[in-house]
Amino acid sequence: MVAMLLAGGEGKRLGSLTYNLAKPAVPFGGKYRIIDFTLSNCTNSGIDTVGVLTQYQPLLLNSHIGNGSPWDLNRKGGGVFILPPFVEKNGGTWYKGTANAIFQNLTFLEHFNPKYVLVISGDHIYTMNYEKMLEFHQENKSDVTIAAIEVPWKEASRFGILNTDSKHQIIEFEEKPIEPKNNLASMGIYIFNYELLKEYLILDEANPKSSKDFGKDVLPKMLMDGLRLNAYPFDGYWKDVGTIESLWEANMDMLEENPPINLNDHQWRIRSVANNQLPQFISKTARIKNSIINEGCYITGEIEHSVLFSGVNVGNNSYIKDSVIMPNARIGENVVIHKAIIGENIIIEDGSFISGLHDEVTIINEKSLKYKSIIPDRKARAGVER
Amino acid sequence: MKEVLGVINLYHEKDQLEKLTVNRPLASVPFGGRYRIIDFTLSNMVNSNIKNVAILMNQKYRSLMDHLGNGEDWDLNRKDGGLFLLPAITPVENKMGLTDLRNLYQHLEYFQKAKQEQLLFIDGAKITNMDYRPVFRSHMKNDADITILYPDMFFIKKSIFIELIKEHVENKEVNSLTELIGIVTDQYHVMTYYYQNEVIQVTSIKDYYQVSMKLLELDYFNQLVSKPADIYSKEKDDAPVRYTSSSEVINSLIANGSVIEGQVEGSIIFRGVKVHKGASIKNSIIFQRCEIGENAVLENVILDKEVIISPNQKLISEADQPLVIEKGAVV
Repeated sequence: MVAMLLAGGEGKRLGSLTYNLAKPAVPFGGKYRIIDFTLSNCTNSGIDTVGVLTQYQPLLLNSHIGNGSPWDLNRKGGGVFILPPFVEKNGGTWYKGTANAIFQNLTFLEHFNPKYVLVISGDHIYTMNYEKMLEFHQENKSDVTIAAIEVPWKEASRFGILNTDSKHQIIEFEEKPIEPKNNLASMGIYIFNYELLKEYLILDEANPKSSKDFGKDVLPKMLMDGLRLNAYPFDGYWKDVGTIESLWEANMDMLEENPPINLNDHQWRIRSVANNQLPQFISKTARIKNSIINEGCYITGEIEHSVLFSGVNVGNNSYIKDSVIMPNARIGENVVIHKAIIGENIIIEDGSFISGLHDEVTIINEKSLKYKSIIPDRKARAGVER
Repeated sequence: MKEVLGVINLYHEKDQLEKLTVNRPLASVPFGGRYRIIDFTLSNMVNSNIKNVAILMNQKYRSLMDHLGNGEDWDLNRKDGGLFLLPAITPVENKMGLTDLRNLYQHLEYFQKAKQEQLLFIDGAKITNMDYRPVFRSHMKNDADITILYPDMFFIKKSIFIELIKEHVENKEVNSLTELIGIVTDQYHVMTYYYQNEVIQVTSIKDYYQVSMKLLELDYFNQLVSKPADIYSKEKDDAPVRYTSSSEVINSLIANGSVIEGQVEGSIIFRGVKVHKGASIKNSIIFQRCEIGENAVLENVILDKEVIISPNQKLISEADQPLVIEKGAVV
């Protein structure tokens, strides 16, 4: 089985975090980039050939992935391949949709001629054994298997909903239905029989009315043509980190006493690129509770319920709560930060106070600005409890 | 310095750190929360642009091989040159390393085939941060046969190295190449270069403990591992450190993969250590993957890897005589 990992997304709703960075390269969990989860899932599932389809701002993503060796994907006759849009004899276009992106890379797939193709994206946080999904696919003699997760009913309208029969076979698709008939949402994770995938991608490409999307065009057509589509039920943690709020929430989720993903699980390691840092140093005046802190940090202040990436300095008498501090940020002395995301390399000057007005997540990511008080109001300051 | 072959001779290392060197060479002893002693010498060579390094090992080489791998983490995974591990062919006959020269002789073919014409020979891994290039320039400018930077560290022309070994392989009066050079110094053009950087000696557990505690002065540690150049070590995929509601950490170095639920003060915690609630660790060094049970108390101890300290256990020692617990022990 060859995996095709769609990593071209801009992640517009992540604002300044994705100005210069594709969404899958956004830092997460103190040490990782979002794509590390999907890549590690591939390695841990025994998949050793992975095409990563990039498009938006790929530079950092490309250099992060490199030759794939951090995920054991530097392999003879396989491994990781970065697949950007390209020009050939007949010209070329940017990727026009999820299906078109795979279509443009059929030559790549032909080269490996796999029996199955796994299509995944690099913008969710989750762990999944794709091998087990393949077993389910084979047991059910499916043409296509779509991984699906039950979502709260009130959220169902945000998703592609799958209506299934008692044997997990899909009988209907509903894209963002106003009145959903089911709460089983498509995770955008598909296993196809390669020959069929090829056939339908070619068909879809030739259809001028198609938006070139799996969920909206290719899969509904396959269903209409009577192909066998099954839903593979998944009930673990699955988080789309496409907005500032959800990125912050997912980081906070990792701080729970029993976090939804155990980053210390040696049976399912999440691997990433390391960068030669010292162990973190916790000084005499530091106080740390309920937090995750990465190597290379130097902490003299107080950290509560926060996630700190590598190389972060926190000055004397500073207090950070419910926040995410990205790599190499420098927090001065006497700083208070509450419910914020501080971007990479940002400097927060001594005495700054950062907190949202209405309990929303504040994001600080503009290097050109020096941050002093975001909220000068003294009442708000008193509201941050120690 | 691509005309230089780096040679790190660990063949006659002594077991000077007692329990810590029972099953591993001194070069392999964990240091500073993430390093092993060999990382310093190896990084110094690579940072000085040496692209080919041979390491002569004695019998306890497994942990060293595991740590070094193919040299990738030190940029030595190369087709042209790279890292070459030379395990001992002749076992060490006695603690004075009488067969050190014989071991070099057994590996002579490697040295003869190496395309470099000069060797940088370092006897025993050294904790220091140094750029060898100025010394090498001086060695070349003076057209010296041998340039000594420090006891146990010298540049030597390969032809002379081979000549010396062939001539003295059966010489029982000589314990090491360093010693031999001292004896034959009049026969060759030997220069000395005054090396000013600190070289940290670790010849006893007490030394090791004191040097480690000094690393808690972070400026000192930072300087040691980054000036003039970065010291590299093996990279691992451990998760960031977890602190819970009962964590209390003061003045300590904590490595990734650890979970701290108790108290840690003035200590170095290596990777993957679990400190349970109520446990108290003071002025200690805890190697990889140890587990410290609830309400245990440790003071002035060094725990080798994978030691399990049972709940409520107390191990209290003195700073000038730290207690060492051997690898894998359950206390």
